[in-house]
Amino acid sequence: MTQTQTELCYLTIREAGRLLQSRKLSPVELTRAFLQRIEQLDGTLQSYITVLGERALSEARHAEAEILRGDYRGPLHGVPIALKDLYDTQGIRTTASSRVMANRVPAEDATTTARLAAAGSILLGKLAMHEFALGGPDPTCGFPLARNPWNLGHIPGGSSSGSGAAVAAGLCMGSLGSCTGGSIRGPASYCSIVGLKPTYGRVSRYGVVPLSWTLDHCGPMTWTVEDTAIMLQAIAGYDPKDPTSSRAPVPDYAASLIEDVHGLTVGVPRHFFFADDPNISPETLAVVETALKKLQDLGAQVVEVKIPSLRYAGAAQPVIMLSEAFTYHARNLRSKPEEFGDMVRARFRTGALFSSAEYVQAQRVRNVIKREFANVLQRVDLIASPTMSNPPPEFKHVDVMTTARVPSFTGPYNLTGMPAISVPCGFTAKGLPIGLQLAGKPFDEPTVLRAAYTFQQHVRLFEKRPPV
Amino acid sequence: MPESEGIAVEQLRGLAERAGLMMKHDEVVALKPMFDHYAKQIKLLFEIDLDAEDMAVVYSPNWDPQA
Repeated sequence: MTQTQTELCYLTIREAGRLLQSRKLSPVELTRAFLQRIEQLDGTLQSYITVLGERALSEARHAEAEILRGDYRGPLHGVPIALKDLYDTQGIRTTASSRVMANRVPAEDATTTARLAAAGSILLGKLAMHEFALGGPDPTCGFPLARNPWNLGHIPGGSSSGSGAAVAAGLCMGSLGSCTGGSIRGPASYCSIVGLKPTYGRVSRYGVVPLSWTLDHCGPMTWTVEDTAIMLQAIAGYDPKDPTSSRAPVPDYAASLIEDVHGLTVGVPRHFFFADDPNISPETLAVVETALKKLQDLGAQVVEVKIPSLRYAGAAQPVIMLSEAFTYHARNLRSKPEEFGDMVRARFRTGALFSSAEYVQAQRVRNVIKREFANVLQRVDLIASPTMSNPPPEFKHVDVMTTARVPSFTGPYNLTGMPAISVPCGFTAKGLPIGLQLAGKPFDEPTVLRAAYTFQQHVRLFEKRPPV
Repeated sequence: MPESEGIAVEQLRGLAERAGLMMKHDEVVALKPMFDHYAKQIKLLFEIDLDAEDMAVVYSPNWDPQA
């Protein structure tokens, strides 16, 4: 691996965009560097399911010609990205990491796929994920299991596992993940990158293999907050093909990247996220406490808040998610269960066993949680917590019950639909990443981005890359 | 939770069959810990007095925290 190649692949989207726009860097040269890096490293990291070598180079040549003749499209023009393998890509196999969809080739792009293409980005390939965006790193699913570039023996998180690993290792400049209970923020935290779950309705879900219609979100995963803002700008906005898509106007996210948190109030529900619970890592809590202190030092007011119904979130979220997931997969679970991996088959089957009254009750409890958050958001601008209750576990310690046992710090925001970001905030003594989660008011992604950006610019963990 | 606690395996098999899932005995046994885990959690959901709280299965993206 040459130094030049590494330098190119470690550029941020913003840095690369400036070089591409000023014609100091060619999209073809940049894309070739990424393809070479994938060739050299991904045998070990296993972050890609499909690499689109020739197709990506062809797109890069097209972008180069456009830029040279003055048709510059914006900050993603000529930028190599990759998609979690549940985003439909016209003519390109989209598997959701399952034998059930092993040979599925969509006839149409997902709305987000099309928007990123329209912004001029180069699609390097399709990324590994947990089967159907659930379960865990399951060797029985028939697809590669992405590894954590910070320590190959540890999981990169999920379900957007390949997205987390590839962005952190410099195998793409940005990615889209999907999130039903934490599948964007979890891998972002575990891989020391930035992951944003936007407000429900902000980004179209059309053409994305569903897990749970009322909880699914799509969002960017990148190395920096600034890059997340760039990707969000390209994909946000009303889509008539998604019935839950919002018509709320899309703000200029780059304009929100002000390095200042003065005037912002950050609420911390310590009773839930910092509880004296043996299932929560004290090391994670200590690192996040330091991060909260940093936010305070930077000018934010940090206050304690109470959201009593949070204690029900961990019960409501899986009932809704698994019931809806079973409904979508019922036919295949009945007719060809052997095509599902062991982990996801077991969890989807559980979704068939909840009663309708339990599903209805979970939805009603969700309303209560939503209302309590809305009340608190009248007093604070953001709510902060660790992204994950524990650092990334080793593969050997993960089984079908792992995610069910530990408290979910991300799931509550899938229930409420609020925007929530994970930004790197430190490492354990063993060098495993820890993320800070910041959640905001519905459609107030600008404030979420502003706080995360300010924090990142001061802590500067983006200067540290994994040892690959 | 010990094996003897929670739902009986035969009862679990009955629930699975009602859902159209034909499962082998060892698959039903393997599913029991997860079912028992969630069943315990679901009890919590019914502890809360929701009175006439409405149900919104289709979640609206356009909600206003000031409302």
